[in-house]
Amino acid sequence: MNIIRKTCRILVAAGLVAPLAACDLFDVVNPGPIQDDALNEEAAGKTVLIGIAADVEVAVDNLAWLGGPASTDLDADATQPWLQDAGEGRLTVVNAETSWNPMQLARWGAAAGIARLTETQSDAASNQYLTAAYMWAGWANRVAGDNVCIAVFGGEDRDGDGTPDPGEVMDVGAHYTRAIERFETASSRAGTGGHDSIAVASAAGMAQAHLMLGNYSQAQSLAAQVPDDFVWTARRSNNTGREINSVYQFTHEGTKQITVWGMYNDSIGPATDPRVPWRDMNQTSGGGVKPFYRQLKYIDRGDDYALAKGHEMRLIEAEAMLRSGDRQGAIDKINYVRDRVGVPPVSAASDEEAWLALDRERNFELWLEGRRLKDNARFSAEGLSSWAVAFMQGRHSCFPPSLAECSANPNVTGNAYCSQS
Amino acid sequence: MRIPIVATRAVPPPWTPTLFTFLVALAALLPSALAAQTGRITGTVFNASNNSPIGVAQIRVGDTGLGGVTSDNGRFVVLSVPVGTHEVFVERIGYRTQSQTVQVSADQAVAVDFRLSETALELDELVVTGTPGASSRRELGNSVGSVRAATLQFTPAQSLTEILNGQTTGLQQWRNEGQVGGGSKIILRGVNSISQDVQPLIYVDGVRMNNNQGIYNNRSSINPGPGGAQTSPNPLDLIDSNNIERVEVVRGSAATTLYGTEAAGGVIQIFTKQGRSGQSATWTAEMTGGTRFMTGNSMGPILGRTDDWGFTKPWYKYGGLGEAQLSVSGGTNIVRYYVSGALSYDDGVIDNNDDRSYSVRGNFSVQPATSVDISLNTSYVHRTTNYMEMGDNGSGFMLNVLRGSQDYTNAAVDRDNFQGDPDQILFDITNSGRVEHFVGGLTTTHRADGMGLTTRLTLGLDYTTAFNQQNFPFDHVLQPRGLRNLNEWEHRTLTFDLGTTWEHDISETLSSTFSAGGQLFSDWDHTTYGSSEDFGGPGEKTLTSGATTTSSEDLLKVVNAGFFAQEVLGIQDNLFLTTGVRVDGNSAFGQDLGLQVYPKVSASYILSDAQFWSMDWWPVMKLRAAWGQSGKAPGAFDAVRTWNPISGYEGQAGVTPANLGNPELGPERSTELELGFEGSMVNDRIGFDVSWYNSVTSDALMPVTAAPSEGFLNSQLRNVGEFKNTGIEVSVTAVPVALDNLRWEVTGQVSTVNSEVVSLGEAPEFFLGWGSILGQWVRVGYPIVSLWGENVANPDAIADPVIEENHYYGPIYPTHILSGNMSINLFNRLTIYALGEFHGGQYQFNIMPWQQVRRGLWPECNDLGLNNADDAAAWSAAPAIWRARCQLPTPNFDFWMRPSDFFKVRTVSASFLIPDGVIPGATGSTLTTTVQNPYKWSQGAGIDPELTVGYYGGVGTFPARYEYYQLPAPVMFSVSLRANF
Repeated sequence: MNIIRKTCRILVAAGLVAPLAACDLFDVVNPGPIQDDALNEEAAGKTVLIGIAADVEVAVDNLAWLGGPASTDLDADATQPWLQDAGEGRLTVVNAETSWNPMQLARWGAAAGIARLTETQSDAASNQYLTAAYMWAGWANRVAGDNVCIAVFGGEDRDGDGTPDPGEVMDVGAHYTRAIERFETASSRAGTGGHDSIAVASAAGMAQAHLMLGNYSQAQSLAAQVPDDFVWTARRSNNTGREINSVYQFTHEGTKQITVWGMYNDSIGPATDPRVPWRDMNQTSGGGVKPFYRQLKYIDRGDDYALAKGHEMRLIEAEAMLRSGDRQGAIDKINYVRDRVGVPPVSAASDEEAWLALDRERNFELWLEGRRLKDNARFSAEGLSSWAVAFMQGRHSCFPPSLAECSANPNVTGNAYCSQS
Repeated sequence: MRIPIVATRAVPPPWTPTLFTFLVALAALLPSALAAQTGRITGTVFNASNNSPIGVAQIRVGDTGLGGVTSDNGRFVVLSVPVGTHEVFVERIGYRTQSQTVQVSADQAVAVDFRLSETALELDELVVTGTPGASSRRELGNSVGSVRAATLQFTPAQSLTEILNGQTTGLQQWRNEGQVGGGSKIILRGVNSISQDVQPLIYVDGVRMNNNQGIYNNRSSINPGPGGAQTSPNPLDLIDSNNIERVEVVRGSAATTLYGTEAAGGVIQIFTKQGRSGQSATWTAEMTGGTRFMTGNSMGPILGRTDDWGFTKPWYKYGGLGEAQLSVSGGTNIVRYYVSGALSYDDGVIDNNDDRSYSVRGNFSVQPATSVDISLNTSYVHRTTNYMEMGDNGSGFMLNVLRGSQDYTNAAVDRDNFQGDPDQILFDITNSGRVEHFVGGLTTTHRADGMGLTTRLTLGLDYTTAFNQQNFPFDHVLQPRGLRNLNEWEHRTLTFDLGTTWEHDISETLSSTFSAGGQLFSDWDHTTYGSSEDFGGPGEKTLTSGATTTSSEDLLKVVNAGFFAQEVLGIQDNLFLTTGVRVDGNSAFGQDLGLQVYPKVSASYILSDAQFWSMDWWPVMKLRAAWGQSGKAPGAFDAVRTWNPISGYEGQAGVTPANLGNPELGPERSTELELGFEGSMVNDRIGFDVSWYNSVTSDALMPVTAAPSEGFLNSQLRNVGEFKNTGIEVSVTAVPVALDNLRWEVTGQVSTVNSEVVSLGEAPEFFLGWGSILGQWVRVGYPIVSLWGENVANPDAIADPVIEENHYYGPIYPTHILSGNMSINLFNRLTIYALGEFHGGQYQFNIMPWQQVRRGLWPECNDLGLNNADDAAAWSAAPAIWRARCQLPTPNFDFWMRPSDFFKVRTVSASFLIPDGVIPGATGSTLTTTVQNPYKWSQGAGIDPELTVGYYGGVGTFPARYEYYQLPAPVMFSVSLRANF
């Protein structure tokens, strides 16, 4: 019982506090935010799942627009210094507040949601919400793996004392490993539950994760399970501000501080490839320095981001082929995709040209989806793409932990990435 | 000029109104032959400092037993005075007693006017704020600041927050917008919380009033929403200053203990005018007209010296203002009344900015029995304001205009086809706010004089609705989809205040005043938001006009209740020892937290009453000491673990982590020791009040950041921090010249504030505002808040900058504030008054100049030729600091941290007492000319170092100290005519 109530009842009994006679007056429950216990009802299962998915989608949205200037997607001409930093390749603990934090929220939320649904759903073994929650947990980890420098899994009871512990620093590959585990669970549950789309999406997610872990043959075989037309999206909507496509919003509304100007897609012109449309607006960007070239891939607040699609799977197959020495097979896969989108085929007389073609094709396919920072980094680090090598000169290749993580997590404080500036 | 407080508790007069009335009636019944042996004495009592009439002054005609009381216009008439020579005395608490000899002739009226000088220190004047009932100043162990109606006479057409500037020590105020209707934040004795609102509690005639500025916030709270006007009018400005009798300000926890959990930021109590017993109806009419206009000086030291003030000059206009006020007051022995009404309009210096208001007040008192007094004080204000978009806002007026062609309007319009200046499109956006405010209180006082028992019960309601809207028309280039945002607030504060005081003498030398009681305050907030976009075509819109609409709603209730007890022991009427305690509960406390106890002790010793004190030239000297605690409660949801409801896939309901929760959450606790002395000397020509205070805020509510990897991104408040504020406050009033036709009064005030973050507990050092790159940090061992960044170690050298990392610049709030005012009264007709204020020791981030540099538009860089990156000669000749500040294309923010001391002349006025008869039927009429904000000097580079872009943590906490494209306060000129009938 509330200590105040106890105390004041004693005082009232003693006749000391007439004004406090109504002892329940301090028991004010305000409506609005939902109290934690209310989510332990079985009926709240769908609400929990929608929340898990929404948080992952918000994380993807943040990475799509902030990842733009951090990668070859866009440049920044910003008045906010942290955004300008991102455009110049400085990925710091400050701009990581916009990338690391929502990613961690999504990852933790999915893990906590799975635990809660397992406890509260009477048919947990086959519950469809739980199945979908596993898939979204997979996406949360894949998204994190593509963008952060280190993995930290906080909020887990590692020492068994019943209370959550701060996460320890792990190699970023741990995110992909977790993603694969979650996708596998989702896939197996979906297979028995008749949720084919979740099974296919999970296969696509696993293909992406295996590719990043260097398991190329596994990535190739999983990618092959995904049809050409398949797309799994992070959904955006004009319903509320939290659901708006931020790349659209920051390029079509408001202060327009990110621009296509100066990037590779500027150099090829606005209409060379339908996957990378843009327009010269004859204006300066929000920072007042660079021309504003508006992206036209997203032309509505409700335009979704692709989390996985068949065309990307073909390019995963192409990369696996290229890594196994099948250059022509890789180029054929690339041209298969290009033919489907209506652009002329490419050719490659050398492996270097093939890697450059693959890098550019992934640029076209994955533009403004929060995916290219990892591509830039790995193609540069392995020296595979001259474009990536040149672009990454003097630039950071991943988002460090945020200032909040560096400050509040004793296992992260002092990590070298916390000093990335 | 020192402003003493008028007594509010009846002091037994030599002649009560009842007796006076009786004598008048008796005189009327006397035979004419007897009446022929008497005459009349008439006259007016004025304040010698400013010629304002003095009401409730006691008139006594020698030892005849005749006399009376002046009405509000200072007039008095004494009938049936025996023929002959008499000495007429005038007495009034707060003024020095004066007498004049008159010769009364049979059937004749003899006129005699008095001009009373205010006493430098009046120990018997009564103070209400911070005490259970009214207490005489001699009993108080703490200082109380005050502003009285006479000061208001010099400041017609000014808001209460404007009037408070420079009037009391320890008070600093930050304005966030110079548009009419703009708001400000008041801080007493420095910032002592970084997570809770620092605004003092506000009481009006004993009724608590909402002090939350968020309710009036003219800023879109809907996402997505452009910035709006970004200003938050202060709730104090909803009180018509024409109706104010006086204001009391108590500044620290040593004085605010009895207010408990929510009073660590101090208390401001406003007392409105009341009717007088035995006074026939006195009408007062006041008309004010004037204008506001911008000057080069208003635009700051850098932009103000350019020809077009940074492209802004053509957009400014002369804005008219006017106000009409009419009041009537009077009363009998049983009923007293004060009723007033006012209308005002105020046009800003740019289009789309204007303010209209009307207000009514009715204060009524009934005395159904000699021991019972019932008073009802009510007021209603209706105010509508139109604003321009302003501040850190892509649609903002200053942001776009100052950036010339490199702004959002030029970027947005098709310049080949657009006729006129692209900045014109800013005026197609409309912002408006409407506030309706009612405050009413019913106070019943019962006095059992035989027992020395006084019981007071106050029931009060403060009720406000505010409605703000923002409209971007169909196909507006900055919001192509069109936009309409609404928010509507409804706020209610209920007051229940019961207190009893028992005064009795324990012995001939020992007196006791024991008080006990309880209060309950209930705050209720209801907020609804609506937004609509995608209009089908032009025309007026409602929310339903858009294809896309969103809405949301917040509902909050907070209850605070507690009780207190206090004992004041008086020893020989010159030593007073006070002990007291307040016990509080609050619905926002964590479940595991109990009632909170706030103790206090204080002592007051009238040194000049001691037998050894024999200095006639130094008649009053009081020593005082006070120690006490008060608190500051957390917010309604801060203690609870919550999830936010969100909308997910296809509008379905979801949740996302919101607040981690803390079941042990309690209030911040400020403990203050205040030592001081006050007195008067040199024939009451010099008065002084000196205080030293040391306030320690423990269990400070700190936003402890959780690791994002643990799922909750919002920081959680924990009672872990400790802050310290120390300072000295000195107020000196002097009357250097007091001749028959020339009186010169001067008041000087000095306040120092030195704050320090003693501990952050578990919370890491953290930055506030626009990211750590702006360098505004809360760091242990440094002030709240301190400015850090890279510094140029060789600023004046003609060389490349030598950069010093992590340099401590200084505090962002002033460490010392000096204010001074003076009045000169000539020939008892003309009073000239001036008030100025200096803030020193603070640093500010000049972000606006930084933005201008990037666009080659900042004069300090352009004058050196540094707006051209290729001008090698200019760069090689420039000092290091300017090479750093003007670096292209993007200078480092840090080099735009600069000292921002400033001095402002707040008010200059001239008031002329119009001879009676010039206005038929009027007496004590005055004509006042006022100039507000005529001059400022500032050390910083921005437009106005007093402007603040907003508040850390959102509206409601404390001011962020960087300006960003806000409109400075313009000059205001007005002429006001006031007449009493």
